[in-house]
Amino acid sequence: MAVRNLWAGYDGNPVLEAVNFQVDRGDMVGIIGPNGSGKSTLIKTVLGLIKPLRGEVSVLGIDGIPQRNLVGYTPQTELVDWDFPVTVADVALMGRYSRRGLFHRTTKEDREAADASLELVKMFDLRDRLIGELSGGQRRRVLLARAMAHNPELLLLDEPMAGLDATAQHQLLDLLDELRAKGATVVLSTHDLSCVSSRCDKAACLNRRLIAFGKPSEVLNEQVLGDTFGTHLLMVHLDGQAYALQHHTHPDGTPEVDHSDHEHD
Amino acid sequence: MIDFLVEPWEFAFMQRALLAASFAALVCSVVGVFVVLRGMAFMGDAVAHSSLAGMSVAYFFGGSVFWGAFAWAVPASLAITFISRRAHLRLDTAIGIIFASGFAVGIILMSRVSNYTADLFGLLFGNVLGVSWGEVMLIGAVAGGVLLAITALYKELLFTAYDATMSAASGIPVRFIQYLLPLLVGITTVASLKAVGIVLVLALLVTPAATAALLARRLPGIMTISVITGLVSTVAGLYLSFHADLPTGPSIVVVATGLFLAAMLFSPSKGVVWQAWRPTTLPPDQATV
Repeated sequence: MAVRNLWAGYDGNPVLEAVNFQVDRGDMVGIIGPNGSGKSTLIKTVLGLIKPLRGEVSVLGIDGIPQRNLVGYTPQTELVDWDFPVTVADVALMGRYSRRGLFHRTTKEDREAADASLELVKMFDLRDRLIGELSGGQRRRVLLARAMAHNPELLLLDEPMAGLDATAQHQLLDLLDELRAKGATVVLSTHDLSCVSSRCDKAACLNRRLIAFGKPSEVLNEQVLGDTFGTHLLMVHLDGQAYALQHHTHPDGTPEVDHSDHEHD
Repeated sequence: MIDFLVEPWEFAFMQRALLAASFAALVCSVVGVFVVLRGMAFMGDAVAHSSLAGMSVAYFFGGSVFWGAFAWAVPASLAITFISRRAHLRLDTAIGIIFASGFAVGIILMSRVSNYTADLFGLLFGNVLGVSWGEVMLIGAVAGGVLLAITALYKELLFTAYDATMSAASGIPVRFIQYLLPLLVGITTVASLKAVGIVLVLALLVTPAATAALLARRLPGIMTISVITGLVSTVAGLYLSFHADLPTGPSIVVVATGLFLAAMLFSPSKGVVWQAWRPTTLPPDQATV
């Protein structure tokens, strides 16, 4: 997957400005940046949901319209209606729906692929549960199963870690590693610096422009993080190590330190 | 007892009413499931009310009231979707504009007709006992068309209703579906106007589907129960109307509401009554050693 001089946004107002980078097959790339930095916009542009204002996106060496069957996507969970009366199995099966045409019912092959996908994310036993009855981590895995159901080569995950506790995050990352071992390429957006620095092959630091792209150990330094997060990030030096603290400013103006995210020497 | 059950159907007008109201209830119960899930109740209500303009124009010039309503409902449904998508207005704002403007035009036109009150009453509250065989067939054909479209596009409608972003990413023509569903809702309300009238069509659209949502877990089950509820309400409403000499449309709505209340109180999984009685499920207290 490659992005060349990409400008994209809504209603003609660019959110992304001149973004350039390339993802190698089999890599796991973490896109980090503050809210409004264009992480979701970037993912939606790669998916073909947003037309680039300028520049181009190519997926698996094919320019222009993305090959839907080669790409799997999970949206931010807040964008999903969890009260909808469908079961885990129904949602996984939706991953097989693309362009089936009028009147077409799902086939045995579709159902087997959806079940295999649920096995993969260890949700098969809960296949008859309604999605509203699932925990946060289980919901995330159902969305992943749906994205995996048509065996895509590239997975685009929008904030897959948000709202998960540390254990669930690591289970999810282990699962992504398993999928990569089978040949998948993973691009995910996150606020979580420690996950990117410890688990991703490449980090893309985004704040409307691409601030840096490369191995986490090389690009996640004070300079880059400062440029990416600006005042959203507080650098604390303690015992010869630098800790990056992300904090969000509340409407009443009191800053709240969220959590310690990343450390480096 | 046999007389009670058989007598109404000895009259041709009751047979026609049964068919017309059943077609309307059938299509409303299916479309209503999407309406309830997507929170589109007032969209259907608005199309029905604004159709008064089309009906009045047709009435004024002596044309078919049905086609007048149809000709108004199609652009009205598309306009609501278009306004809310393009003008960056909330959907309920777009609905408000279409709702009131069409209704106002309709009332103005109707006021120019000599027996204003009686005719307006028929349009507002329906007159299913006065339905002709031609109208029965028309309602059946329109209901059949809507059901055919839903069958053909069931997966697309379901997926888009559940998660539009992901549907678009999967290559489903989401924009087409997002215009189509309100259009189907609009056409459905028109098919039901003769049975229950402009004011009460909302009940036929929402109540059976809401009842079913209390009784079934998954979408196919909800649709089945919604259809059963809609048809039972229609038949029972016609009996009530015939034997107690009550207006037909409102009788159907009252029965449907009764079924909804029963489901709300006694649904096995979501019933208010059981929830009040249900003991809290805690593991047995461990004796501390």
